[in-house]
Amino acid sequence: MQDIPKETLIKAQKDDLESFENIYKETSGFVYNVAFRIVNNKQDAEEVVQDVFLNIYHSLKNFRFQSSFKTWVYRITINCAINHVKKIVREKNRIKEYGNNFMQTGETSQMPEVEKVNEGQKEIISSLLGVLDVDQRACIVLRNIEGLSYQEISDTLKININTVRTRLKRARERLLDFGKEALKNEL
Amino acid sequence: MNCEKIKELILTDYIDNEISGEKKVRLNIHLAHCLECREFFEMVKNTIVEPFASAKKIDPPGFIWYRVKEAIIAKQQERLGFVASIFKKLRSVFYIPKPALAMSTIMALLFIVALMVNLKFSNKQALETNREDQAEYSTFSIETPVNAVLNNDGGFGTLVEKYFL
Repeated sequence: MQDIPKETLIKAQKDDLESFENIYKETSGFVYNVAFRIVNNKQDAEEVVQDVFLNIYHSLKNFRFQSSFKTWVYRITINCAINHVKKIVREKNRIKEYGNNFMQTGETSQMPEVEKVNEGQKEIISSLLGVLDVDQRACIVLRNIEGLSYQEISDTLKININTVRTRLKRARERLLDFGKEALKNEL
Repeated sequence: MNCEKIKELILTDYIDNEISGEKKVRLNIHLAHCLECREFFEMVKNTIVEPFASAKKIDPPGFIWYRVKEAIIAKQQERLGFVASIFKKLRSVFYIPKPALAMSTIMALLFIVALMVNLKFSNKQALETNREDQAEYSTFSIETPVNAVLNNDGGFGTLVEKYFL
């Protein structure tokens, strides 16, 4: 992403839709990729991108140019994506509960089969990210895919730099375990 | 540095290039001599670093911007509609029929004018009375000698003087 000129941001703060479109053009690429890697699904990523840009549009007036605009956009993206994942998990749990109630009364649920089909279509990265919890996933995406430094991740997520280190370490330990298990299953 | 510490560094700072110069040199020397740690590093590189390094960047579908734009315009219109509705509500709360409003305005203006005229005249009268009093006193002071005012004791004959003198 190129640096967005301050004038463009100021114009967008004053409800100028054309300037906001320029901001969208510059940032939507990484917003979409980060969102996609965290929610692990294209349709959900599209929803997250929409949420992110509406959020940016409404909060832009409060942006005081004290931090980097890119870091600010990353933060909004990560927060929206994490909230979206949490919402999906809540919904899935509710559906599971509902399904269990049906199973008890003799009805069957279609959910597990649908999930199996999706599992088969996943690429390696999606499978790897799928074994991590959402906070670890955010750290891995920002470091391994977006290439942010520990300090930048710390600024984006507003967490201590040692917490970044710990989350990355735990995430990678889990990925190693997953890799070993996958290798065992193949053999 | 023992192998456990080296593996911890490999998992974090070493593969992320966050390690300082001297520490990095020491770690490289350890790796050159320790097969177990070298194998661990290779495994980390193959399992964790490389799959993500080859991650494809995907372009967002074009329709997202139109959705965002639509939502922004809808929100702007909603905001305008909200302001208009507040004005409408205020008008209905403070609604006064036009003739009554005009009449009350005229009455208020007349009252203010009458008040100002009255104030002006009453001030003028007070000023004239004051001026007459002053003129009368000046005439009295000039024409009457001081001894004529004083009594036989050389006083003014007041009760206070009688009490003390």
